[in-house]
Amino acid sequence: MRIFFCLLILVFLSACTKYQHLGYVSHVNAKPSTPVSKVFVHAGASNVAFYGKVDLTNAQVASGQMLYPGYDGASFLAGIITHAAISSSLLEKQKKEIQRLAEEVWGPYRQVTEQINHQMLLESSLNVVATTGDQTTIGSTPQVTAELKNEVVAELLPLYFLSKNEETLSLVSTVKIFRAGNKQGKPLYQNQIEIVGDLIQAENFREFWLANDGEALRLQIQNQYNTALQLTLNDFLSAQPKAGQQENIKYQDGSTTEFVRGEVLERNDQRVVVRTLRGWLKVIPVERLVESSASK
Amino acid sequence: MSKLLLGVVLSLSVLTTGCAIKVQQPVALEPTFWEKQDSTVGVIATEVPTPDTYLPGAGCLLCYAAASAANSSLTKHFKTLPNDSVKNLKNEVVKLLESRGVKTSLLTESLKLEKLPRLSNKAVNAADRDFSTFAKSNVDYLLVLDINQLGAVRTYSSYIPTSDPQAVLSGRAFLVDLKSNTYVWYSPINAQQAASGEWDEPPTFPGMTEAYYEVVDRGMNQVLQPLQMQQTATTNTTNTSTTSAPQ
Repeated sequence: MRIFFCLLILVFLSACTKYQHLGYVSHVNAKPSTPVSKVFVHAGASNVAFYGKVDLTNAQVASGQMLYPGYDGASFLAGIITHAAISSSLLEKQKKEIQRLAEEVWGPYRQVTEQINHQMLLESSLNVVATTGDQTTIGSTPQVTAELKNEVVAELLPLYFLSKNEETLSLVSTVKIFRAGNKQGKPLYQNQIEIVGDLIQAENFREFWLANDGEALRLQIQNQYNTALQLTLNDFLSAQPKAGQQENIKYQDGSTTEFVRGEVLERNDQRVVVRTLRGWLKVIPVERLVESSASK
Repeated sequence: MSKLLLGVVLSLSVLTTGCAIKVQQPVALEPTFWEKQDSTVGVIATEVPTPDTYLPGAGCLLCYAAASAANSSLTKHFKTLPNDSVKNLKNEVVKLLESRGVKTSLLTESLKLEKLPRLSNKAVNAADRDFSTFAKSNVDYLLVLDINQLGAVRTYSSYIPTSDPQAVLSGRAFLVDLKSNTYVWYSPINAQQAASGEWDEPPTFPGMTEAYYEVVDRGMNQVLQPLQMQQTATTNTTNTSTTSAPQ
């Protein structure tokens, strides 16, 4: 009986220690059987979010050993619960602290980022994105209203990340595409699109980003948004591809070397587009790729 | 009484000396090694483990049973992941040594370290096992790949997990001079990687799977890079053969 209770509590407490990563979405692709004639793009939130890039590699809490009181079953279980609560809060506290420290990286850029509005990015983007088959027109809608009813709406939520050394600006955008009248139901498409920023050649990255009232920063933010929207629409509107060969890809991301495993969907002189094991899409500039002599 | 006390002290000192474990420090490969053009290097590996989960800290039997049950779906998934790249590492090493002009001999059988005689030589960089028997395979040096952990590790404090699981590849690679039975190169291998973002995504655990492939890549590079780094101008023809390890 005691074992049963222990296991039950452990399963319960294991679930409590989960850390939900920023912008985490599960991939859904349930395209409608009939062709989509129009997609209304909607800015999911008026503000654009800016975060520091977190590196959780080797982030572990020290194991707090504890001696369980065992004079009766109830006190034994109480000991386990207390221990779990302490360990869990330590783990969460440490991760939140890492996140807080990472976000400090945006401090010097506030004067530029405070002026960036999601609707502004979206409207500029609609001038450059195009659908592949000319079958679908792309518009925007300021609100998802009842009148749209059966129309298809794509809602984006862009999160921009800056590496600790301020060199790499990346966009991680979550996207949800749904029928306007069924926003809370199962989406037609849901995914995460990551655009790794271009390699920057500069002596001082901060000066580079902030020169001319943040011109380079604004330009890269807009370009990454355009790419994310274009990829989203292409992936949603194109035919469901067969799963291909997976491979390992390594790339330089600020001061760290990142690793991704997935299927390469596109490879040209400028970029590599990968579908990761989670089904997410990732765009990596070719100039950031790192050769590996080891596994394939 | 004093004799008894002396006896106890001596017994304790013998006992505690016996517990001391010699920890081998890393040994960098001398650049002059690449100039030994007449020597042959045999390359051999211990059996590569099937990917699994490791739960250090779940000390008691009941704790381990509970921890195993809590991580069973992750364990089940990891056992399905391939270890071919790690198995192929010895071939990669041979290819690399050949490209550097070293005469190489691939010993295809799995090395069973525990079957080699244990040595208690206290000399600096002395090997802990007697590898001299491999001289019969006409090799002067033996490069050993010994991977002992492959999969995921999650630390526990009794019943409670104190970390998220991390993919892991650990072991050691070393080169033994068979004349002196000493290490001329010794490199511990330790690669660990947390899942990017969420880890608990059964049944396919994509985050942990990606981390697994990353540690395989990183761990293999920990072996290959030190052998690549010290470039010399020597380019010689190579002589490679495939033989079996001595019985």
